[in-house]
Amino acid sequence: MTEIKLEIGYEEYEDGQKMSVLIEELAQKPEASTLSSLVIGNWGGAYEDSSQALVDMLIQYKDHFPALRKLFIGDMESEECEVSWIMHGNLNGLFAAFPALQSLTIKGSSGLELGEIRHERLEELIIICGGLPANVLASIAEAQLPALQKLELYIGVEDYGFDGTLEDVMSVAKPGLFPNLTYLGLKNSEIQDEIAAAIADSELLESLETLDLSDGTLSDVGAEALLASDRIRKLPKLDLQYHYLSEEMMRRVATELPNADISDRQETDHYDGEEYRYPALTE
Amino acid sequence: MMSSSGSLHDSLAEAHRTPMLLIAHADNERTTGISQALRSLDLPAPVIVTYEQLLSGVSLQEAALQAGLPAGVTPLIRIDAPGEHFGVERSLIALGAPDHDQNDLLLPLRDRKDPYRLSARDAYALEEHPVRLLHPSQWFRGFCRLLQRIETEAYEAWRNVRFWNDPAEIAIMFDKRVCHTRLSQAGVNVPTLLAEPHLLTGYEALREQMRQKRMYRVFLKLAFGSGASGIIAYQINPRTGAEIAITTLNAEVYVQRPGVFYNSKKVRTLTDSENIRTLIGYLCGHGIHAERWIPKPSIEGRPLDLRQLVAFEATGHTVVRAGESPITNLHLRSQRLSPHESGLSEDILNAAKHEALAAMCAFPNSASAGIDVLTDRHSGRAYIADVNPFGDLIRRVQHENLDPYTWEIKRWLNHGIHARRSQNV
Repeated sequence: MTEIKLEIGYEEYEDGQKMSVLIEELAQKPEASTLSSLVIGNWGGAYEDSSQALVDMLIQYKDHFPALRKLFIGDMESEECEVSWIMHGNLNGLFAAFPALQSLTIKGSSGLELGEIRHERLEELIIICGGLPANVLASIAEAQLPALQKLELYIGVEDYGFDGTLEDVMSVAKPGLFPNLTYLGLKNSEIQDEIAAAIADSELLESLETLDLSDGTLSDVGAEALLASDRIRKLPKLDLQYHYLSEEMMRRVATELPNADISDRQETDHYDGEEYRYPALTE
Repeated sequence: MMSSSGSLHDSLAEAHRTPMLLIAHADNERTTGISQALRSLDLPAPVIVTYEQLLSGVSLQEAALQAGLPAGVTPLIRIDAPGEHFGVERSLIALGAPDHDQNDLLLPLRDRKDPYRLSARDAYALEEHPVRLLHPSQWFRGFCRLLQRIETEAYEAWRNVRFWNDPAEIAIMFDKRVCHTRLSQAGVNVPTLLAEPHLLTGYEALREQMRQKRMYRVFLKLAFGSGASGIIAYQINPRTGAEIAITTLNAEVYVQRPGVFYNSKKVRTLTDSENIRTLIGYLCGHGIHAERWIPKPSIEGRPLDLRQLVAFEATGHTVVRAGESPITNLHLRSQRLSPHESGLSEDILNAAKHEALAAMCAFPNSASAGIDVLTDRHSGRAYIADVNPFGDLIRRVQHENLDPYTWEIKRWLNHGIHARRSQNV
């Protein structure tokens, strides 16, 4: 596997360098023909310039990247741009342009559109963000991805772009939607308890190897629902890292669900008589 | 006068003949560390003059003689940190009061007015609140007045006295605004300044400068803060108008004007404009330094920067700090890493050392400082974020098998103290 990461530093951005130009230059190089993994990091000013131009350039030069199997758009940290401020555009064209792609990771969700998704070979779809918009959830719920094995979605919080409902979230977890799915992550959510309760007895769990409900606001309420489900007990792996379980509940989960990872416990904040819990990736 | 190029033998003889006069707090970690270091090198114990003594009105010479300095002997004066001592903090605020207004020769930006000035009497009535910021600008004015007094009294008492770190340079290092200017003029890499301090009159003015310069991510610093005190990592989104401030600074404005400001142990992320406006307004009132936010490299998602000790023109101890937030200061539960553990490349570490040495050269009359260095995660370029004249308290780290104080003093033995380059800085 060969991997290249492209990124633009602050000075280069100030000097007027553009990610789309870097992609165009890469496409002309001999290594483009064997490149299997492309990581697009900070493209500079990602809080105001969306990924649209660079995505369009990738699509334009699609034939120069015949070996491309993995694509990551937006690999940057909060030292460069807050995740909820990363601007995307309509990435739908990528699916038709790269029919051999196996893995697509997108970081950031502001302005993100995926449109109608049809792809025969895609095995992994990962969206890392502070809040997933309902239109993206709807695209995934209608997607035709027969090869999809891993779906990992950071659901996030309303303040950072999650404008859907529990039903919108659960629509991507319909049994039979992705017949080869073995890893489902519905994580980093401020409604993590509701998601846990809604998924706990789903028929979908029969075929999963990993259910990932990590990084969210999971509390004893959601954990009770998980404990009550036989299907949860039978799962090979249950990822609950970063949670708000009480110590007593942690003991119960540790005893009754040996398949669960309950590391990284968080403390609930109390302020003016209210309880506050935050997902991991919300700034 | 001994020159800095004196032979090893002369330097050793000088150190053995020249007792160190340490202006510090009695019995704190620094004082103990320096005493132990001197003892381990078979040098005379330091003559300790406390801030409390000086602030109670005892002259430097009198205090030194009381503390055991033999008459007729000229000491080397090392001024150490005045912080973490409420009584001294209060006395320095009182010394900065209008009652004592004078020429303020060592105060770098002396024409600026402090907000809500307290009389000496009101200053002495202040009560201790462990995390509260009492009056940073008046405190600094008082500290500079004390530095000036120490300098004057020292030259009166001992004509050829020398300082480990020069009082006027300590004042400049301590004021992040003029320190940035000094470094910049010396050709040292520093993060680009957002705007001259006098343009940053408040929240609106600051944001206007950010928009004009298209510098949407900045570090805002209380001009004379230490540690993470009064630091805000601030960013505005030019597209949506949203803003995020990451800081330990907190305010209770409804209690009394001008409000109560304090540092919490926890770093908070604020998005509420009114709250942010209050905190930025406070920094602007007392003195703000605003510079570009250099995107730091990270290890497992935690941003890294480093503290580099420099003494007598050599680099010593290096500590890499991995923060839980963009603000990496050690007491905020950041993790300390050795350069090796941090995964930073040799090139990057060398660039940081090189820049730290260059920064120290901008202070020719001072021997040592703990210098905070930022590295751009993309280019690897090193930038100086802070020059701390008292930044040599670095725990549990060795260089050449020596703790920081012993290493520094050994450098002093081998190189001799610098001759003062000019009398008027």
